[in-house]
Amino acid sequence: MHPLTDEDRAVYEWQMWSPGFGEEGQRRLRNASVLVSRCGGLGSVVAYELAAAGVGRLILAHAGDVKPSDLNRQLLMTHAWLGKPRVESARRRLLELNPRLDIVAVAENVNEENAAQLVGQADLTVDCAPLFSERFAMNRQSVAQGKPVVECAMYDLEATITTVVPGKTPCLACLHPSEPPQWKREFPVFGAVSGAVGCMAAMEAIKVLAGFGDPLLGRMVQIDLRDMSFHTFDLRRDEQCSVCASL
Amino acid sequence: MQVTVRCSGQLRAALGTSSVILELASGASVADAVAAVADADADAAGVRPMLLDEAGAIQRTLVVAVGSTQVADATGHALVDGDTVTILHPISGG
Repeated sequence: MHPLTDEDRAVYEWQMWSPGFGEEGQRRLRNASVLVSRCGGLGSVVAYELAAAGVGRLILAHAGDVKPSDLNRQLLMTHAWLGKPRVESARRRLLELNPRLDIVAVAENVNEENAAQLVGQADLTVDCAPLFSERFAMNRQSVAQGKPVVECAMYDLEATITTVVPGKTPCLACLHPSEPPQWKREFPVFGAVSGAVGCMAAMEAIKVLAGFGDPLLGRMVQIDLRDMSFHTFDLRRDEQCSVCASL
Repeated sequence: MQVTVRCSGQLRAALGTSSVILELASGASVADAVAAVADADADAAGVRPMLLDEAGAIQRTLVVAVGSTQVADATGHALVDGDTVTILHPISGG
């Protein structure tokens, strides 16, 4: 375990005042590795908040180059970086905020071939992927490796967040065993929505890593920013789940 | 009895509303409520296959809750007057 430095204490002093977190919580974040995939509307803000909070190492997985249509929400992408790799834009922006951060930048999206290796590098995954196939691959590997996942997803002004601890809570496949019929890959989205939800998902990751607060274990919050409503649902494990029933 | 059904995600977009108020017979189940939503707006493009599979059962990709608790058995769960059913359509936007 890396101890906190004087610089760490100077930067994180205000959050270490939070009851239940303190210096031990900060030390846990300093020694934690988190996989964020992808670094789009949600993932950009998740990664930024985790970098700001002092998580020691981020593994970022995101393919492709920055496009103009990324710039209304993908806050780690910049106009100056149009046409260049997204994951490098993300790395640059995060290091401007926190030069102590260790970043593993992978210019690929998660798939069946790389999921085991990517999940294996992290203590926790924050799932910000736009495709169910990517989410299912991360879920399968996280369950197999016994690692927690913060599941966050959005659509228009709506979002859902739940935290998966394999064997203790429902996994993604318990809730959604397969891709829904008629899912449309492209949908309306404001950066203010993905930003708000990304901040909440980052806070879930911080709570799980630092061991404080009351994460959304076996619960899902549904957020609707159109009318600012928040509903929380108690979830159940699927005894027949093809991914986690044996745990 | 009167039951409110809340809908989310692309299901809400297809229905054109976030909630539907249903008049159901006493003893109706959660599955009856979901089927009633599918039947209530038969003209809405694609709503029925979002809710029900080819056999008429609730799509397994949906999370359905009564009040604040996910329902385990939609067919066996009887509703009471004033219940709110929430249909959480899966979303994966990142």
